[in-house]
Amino acid sequence: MKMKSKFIAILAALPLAGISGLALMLSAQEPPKFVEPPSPSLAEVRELDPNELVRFLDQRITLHCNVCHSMEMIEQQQLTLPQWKAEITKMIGWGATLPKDYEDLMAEHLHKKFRPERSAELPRVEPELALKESHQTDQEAVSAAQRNSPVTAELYARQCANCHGLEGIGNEIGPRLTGRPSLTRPEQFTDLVEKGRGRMPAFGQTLKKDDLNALRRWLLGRTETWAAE
Amino acid sequence: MSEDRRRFLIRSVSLTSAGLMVPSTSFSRPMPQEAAPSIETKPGLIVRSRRPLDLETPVDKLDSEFTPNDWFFVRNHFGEPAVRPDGWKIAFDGAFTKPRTLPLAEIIAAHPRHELPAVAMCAGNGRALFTPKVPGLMWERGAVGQALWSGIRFADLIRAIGLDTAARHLIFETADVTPSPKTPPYTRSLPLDRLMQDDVLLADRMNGQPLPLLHGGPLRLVVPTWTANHWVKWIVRITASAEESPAFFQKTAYKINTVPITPADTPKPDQMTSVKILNVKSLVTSHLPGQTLPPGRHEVRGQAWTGPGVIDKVEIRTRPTDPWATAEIVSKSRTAGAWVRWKWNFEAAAGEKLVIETRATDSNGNTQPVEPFWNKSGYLFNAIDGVPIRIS
Repeated sequence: MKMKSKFIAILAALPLAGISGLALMLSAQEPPKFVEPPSPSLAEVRELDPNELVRFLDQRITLHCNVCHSMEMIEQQQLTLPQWKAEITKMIGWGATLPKDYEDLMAEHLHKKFRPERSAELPRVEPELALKESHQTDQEAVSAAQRNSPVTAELYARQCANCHGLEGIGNEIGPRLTGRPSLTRPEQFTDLVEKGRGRMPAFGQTLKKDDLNALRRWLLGRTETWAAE
Repeated sequence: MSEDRRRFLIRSVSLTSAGLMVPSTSFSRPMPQEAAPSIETKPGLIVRSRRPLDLETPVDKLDSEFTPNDWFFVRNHFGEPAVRPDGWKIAFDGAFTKPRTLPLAEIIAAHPRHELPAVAMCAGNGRALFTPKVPGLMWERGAVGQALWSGIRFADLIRAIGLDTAARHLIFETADVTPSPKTPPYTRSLPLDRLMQDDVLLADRMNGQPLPLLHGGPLRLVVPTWTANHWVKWIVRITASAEESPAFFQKTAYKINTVPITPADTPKPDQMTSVKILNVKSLVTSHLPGQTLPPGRHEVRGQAWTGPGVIDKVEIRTRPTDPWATAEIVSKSRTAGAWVRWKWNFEAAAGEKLVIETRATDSNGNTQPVEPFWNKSGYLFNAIDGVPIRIS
């Protein structure tokens, strides 16, 4: 028991980059592993001290909410506790994977910060960080060669399919990829996959820029409304 | 729990967080790790959400008859789809005489082109101004704009394709995709009798340009005097049906009470209806709320619009104790579905704190109310709005 918990503690102590590094050592072809954070029972969570609880719940926002939308959607709200509960129930119905055990705690957590009594001034996101003037949409047709590439298909199957499903349609772990906005934004797509987000680990060590572009175009080729050549 | 277990939980949260890039829930600074897309819009648009991309126009960019495309507000539920305009096809399904799929280029080429000015307003424009607060995007005053829309008459298209007598509604499906299969996709159904009116367009051009991707490119519906949730973007399928769509975004979303309620009330189903038609509203576009002006004479300008009918008058005052004055309507013509521009001059003395209030009335006798019509989704705010101005 002591050995096991020591082992778990060591494993938990490895930063993600280290895990990636370890994975790379084992096989240059394997995707970086994401160590799913533990899901403690409600009783255990309630034993965390207030600061630990805040960090725990903020992490859950990243894991379960930020998959589909960025923080502004949450941060601009000023809702009562019943309103927050209703919103969370709706989001779970829409696919948010927040464990049932944490629903009430999450509602309380969000209500603490984003309640009617707080400052009426709405959050402003700095436009320079939010938007760039240059158009960077990729409107080039996907060639048959790009669409049918067995190398890219293999790359997708190995690196992405476990989380994002066959042909990029998504599954319980990862959202759908085909048709999604980032596919036509080469820089945004590359940046996102290289750095990771939430549950998705950083692929910067595993995939080269050429790989990323090939994957992006392969997924475009599988997007119904993207007219392939 | 055991101390080992406790330490494990804490450490895993903190270290995984380092890898996870946990968001800051302080809204005093932006989130550097969430890069925003590069898009064809101006940096000055107010970011209500990065992902999905929802952007509001600052009111001083609404100070002209037509709102430039790159200043137009952006709204979508799931982000714009990855699409190419070439080779776009629309599938016609259900109670059409002959269901089929047609290329958009063929559709456009087959019918005469029409253009008209019309106001597109998000049903939730003004949501942030309701109290008590409601959930949703906190649009203030700028989820609205007017463009010169160009395309074919939707009625011409439907007449050419032919409908079964059973058809009463057309259900529109779009190219944008949800991140999760559990999320309901966006859809809207409109009654045939509205769609067959001459002012409804299938538009592929906006202010003289090809319809930008963020605004529905290559095509969208234009339904003057109806809220913009009906101006369906990225249309891929149109299904003719005897009934309206049973889907979430038609049956559950976009509903508003027909009787006044308080937050404690639960209106009965027969007291709820779909948000459809714009209500009478006015907007100051020459000045931003909280602006400081020097003492003296100033011109204030703005827009006014309504649902059916046209704007009859815009009344204005800068102090709640002043009588209402009538602003001058600048627009030469008043067309249903388009806004009119107005202006007025006022004098202000040093140190005054003014509140510019405007009250529009339309040709059907509707006028902006003093009290907002509260509803739990925050739709159609049109109460008399006060724009505070400080005189130095």
